[in-house]
Amino acid sequence: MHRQTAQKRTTHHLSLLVVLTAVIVACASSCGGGGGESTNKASTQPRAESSDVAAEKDTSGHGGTLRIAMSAGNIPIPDQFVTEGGEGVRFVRVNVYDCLLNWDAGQGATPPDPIPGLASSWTRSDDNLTWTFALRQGVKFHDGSPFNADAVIFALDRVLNKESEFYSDSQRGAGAAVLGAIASYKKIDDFTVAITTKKPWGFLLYDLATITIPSPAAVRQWGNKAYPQHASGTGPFKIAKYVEGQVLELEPNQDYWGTKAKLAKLVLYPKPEPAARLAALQSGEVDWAEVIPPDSIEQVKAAGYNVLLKTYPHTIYYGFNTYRAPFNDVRVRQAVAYGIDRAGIVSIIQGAGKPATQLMYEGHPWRDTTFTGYDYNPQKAKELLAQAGVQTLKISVAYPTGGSGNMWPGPMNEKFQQDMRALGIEVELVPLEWNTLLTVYRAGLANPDYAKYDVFWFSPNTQAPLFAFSSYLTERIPPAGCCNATGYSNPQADALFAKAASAFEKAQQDKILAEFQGTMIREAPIAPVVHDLNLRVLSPKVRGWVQPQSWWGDFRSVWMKD
Amino acid sequence: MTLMFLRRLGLAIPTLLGVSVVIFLLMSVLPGDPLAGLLAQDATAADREALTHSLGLDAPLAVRYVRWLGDVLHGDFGYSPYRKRDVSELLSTAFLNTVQLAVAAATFGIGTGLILGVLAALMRGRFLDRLVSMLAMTGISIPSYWVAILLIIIFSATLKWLPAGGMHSAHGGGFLDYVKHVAMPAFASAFVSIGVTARMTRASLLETYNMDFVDLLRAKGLRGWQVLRHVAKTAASPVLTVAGLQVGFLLGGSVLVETIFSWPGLGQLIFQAIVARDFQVLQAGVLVVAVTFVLMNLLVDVLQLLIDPRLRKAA
Repeated sequence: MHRQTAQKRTTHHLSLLVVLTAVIVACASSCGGGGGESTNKASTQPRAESSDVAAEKDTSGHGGTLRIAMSAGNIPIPDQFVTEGGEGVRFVRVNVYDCLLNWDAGQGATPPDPIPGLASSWTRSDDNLTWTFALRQGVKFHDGSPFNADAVIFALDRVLNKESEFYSDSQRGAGAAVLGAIASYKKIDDFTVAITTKKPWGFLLYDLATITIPSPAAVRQWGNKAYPQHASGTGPFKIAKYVEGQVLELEPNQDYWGTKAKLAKLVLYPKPEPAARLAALQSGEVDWAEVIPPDSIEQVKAAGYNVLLKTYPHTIYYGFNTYRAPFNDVRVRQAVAYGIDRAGIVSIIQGAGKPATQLMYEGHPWRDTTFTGYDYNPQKAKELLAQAGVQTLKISVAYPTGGSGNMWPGPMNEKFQQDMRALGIEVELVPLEWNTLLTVYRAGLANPDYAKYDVFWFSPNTQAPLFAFSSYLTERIPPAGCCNATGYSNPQADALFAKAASAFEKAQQDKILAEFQGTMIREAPIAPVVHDLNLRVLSPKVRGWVQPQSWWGDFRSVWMKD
Repeated sequence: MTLMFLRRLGLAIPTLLGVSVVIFLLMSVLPGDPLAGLLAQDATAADREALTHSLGLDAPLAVRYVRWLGDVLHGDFGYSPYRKRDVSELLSTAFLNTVQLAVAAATFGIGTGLILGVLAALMRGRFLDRLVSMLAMTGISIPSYWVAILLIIIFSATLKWLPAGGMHSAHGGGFLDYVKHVAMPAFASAFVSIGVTARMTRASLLETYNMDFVDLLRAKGLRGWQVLRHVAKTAASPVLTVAGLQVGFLLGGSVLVETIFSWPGLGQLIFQAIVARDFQVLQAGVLVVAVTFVLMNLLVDVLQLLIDPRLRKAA
């Protein structure tokens, strides 16, 4: 302490000068470095998907404390539906809770699928309407209370049954949308529940992999409002310490029913400022930083950190207002799709993304391999515009100024503006808060308040088929449904989706979804821009983390090397 | 004097009411949706209606305001649907965190400002005076977030002396750990205070040195530092006003500094409430800031009366 204060005192008098000098030093290293980067040939291309394979496969040890700097502004609140979007699921939901089905996200070879979670097996009735789930026995919640069929009914009731005592409008708002296919559910015996859908519904397993099962005893004890502070699930980690806005500490659940976690402790910090996350990593305060500034990728690599990059179901796109001119003409939409210099955008973000010509990336089962369009082709774009009789155009593009998962919208949109100018399209960029843009998305572009926008930027989580594709269905056009904001409508696509929804064989379903995606993308209600590469940086001490093709992974295999 | 105190306190009430009405109105005309962050991206209209109703957002604005005011008068700041906590709990935690930062920043900022200001006044026209003026201008002009990021680059990322944010490290840690965490945010917040205080101190001292009584003191044979003692007392009044304002600002919490250093204070809480359109937290948070400011001004007035007999007479 004395050394510290003495040190401070001596720096006081010179501090201002130090700062001024430091400006020059800092600029010489970072500004100069940044300038060098952009001329670096390698960075004009998407970076190769990368990870330290040795670290990933290293299962030789266990234990240790893993400290993570999240990009969220707050600790994800561990209610039944965890807040803070994808990060909330990644760091809190999959650790604290189980769903009837979990995901096999502990591997990076394929996009994960739902696998048995609290339901150990299931059968489907002959009419494909009623599913009977056998529940795992002997499972205990973190608070010690037993898991059984009542807990499943309690969890569903809390979201879907207004008559139930602990029904919560906020949990319904956060989670009911994905459970819309469920007509009814009931307990058969202590370890069996039956769920009936409104129509044959092949996506039910995906749907059930989103709703967590909290401890009914804990909810009863604390009530809906205070429950999140005492959250109790069945997951592989339990909450050891929770200081709102500051820190969440998780400890392994020694009674976990499946493979147990190796870490001794998992500590989560909200650090919304990218430079602060990077600095926290470099100073050794954390071992893991989410999305660092892409300019610093080379720097941290050189310092021995493990830079992880992998495609996952997250794509940035421009959605078109198809209700009116100019984008009610498919040729104008396609022209924009051909006119985006995606490689240029990728180079602006230092290769932290991959050019996207479809909603799903190469290798994903829902990508339509028969469609090869939307490479950068300004000539073709101009021809399409000419065919559509468009000479000059002025469009307004609503984009978010930030927000989880939006990558770096400012510079990316400015590049888009330049690309469009080359086609004779004048782009007016309209910056909106992310929450406002979400409102636009939900209300749709036919809404009189938002009809003024020609294009909007969006970055959906396309991990589950319903959410990935329902926004291109006629029945989802607001205000009747939610959320086909573009107003795109194609009976052929609608029919394909219905076909996929009533298919129960995964391979068959995937094939139909790929066809659906191809049908939709050919008509370009959206123009895909980049696939996010899920940039994250780990200290070499972090072992056993497998970078998944997913918004979340599996922390159970992770341990820290001394 | 007591009468004046009470009068000032009485005047504060309409100020606070006015502030709360303005915030309420501003929030209702701002584009954006208070439910946007609470609902699933594809939530249905029925889900939205249910939530709107259960949060009481479907009532007319005036009704909501009166309801809110009534609750506050009963000491109930409500519940934040975003943070899933009672607003009073959120605010008290955040306010205490900001107070810690503000005390550190004010002590350092105003202290350094005073020393620099006195030195500059004593060395008027000399090199040191010019240097202080330059530094003061720099302090006032440089944005705090820039200083903050620079500090992080130097002391966290490069030298690895200080943690880049938060209030405590993962393994807890005692007082030293706390000092390490508070040092950079306090320094970044103090920058403006240093500049403002130094300039005001210098100006006020120089003005006082030009007064007739100083000549008298000198004629009586008092030496430099003895003169300074008398001058300082006279010059203190405007410095105190400025310092009080600085403390008021610091207690309001700095959004930028708190966000960059992940310091869970009032500024960050209010900022996040604005982004989320979290009315309950925002209304109460702004009210706390306003009350703090009003009380701080009042405190400065009282201190002025204590040190300045001329004001006491006037009162």
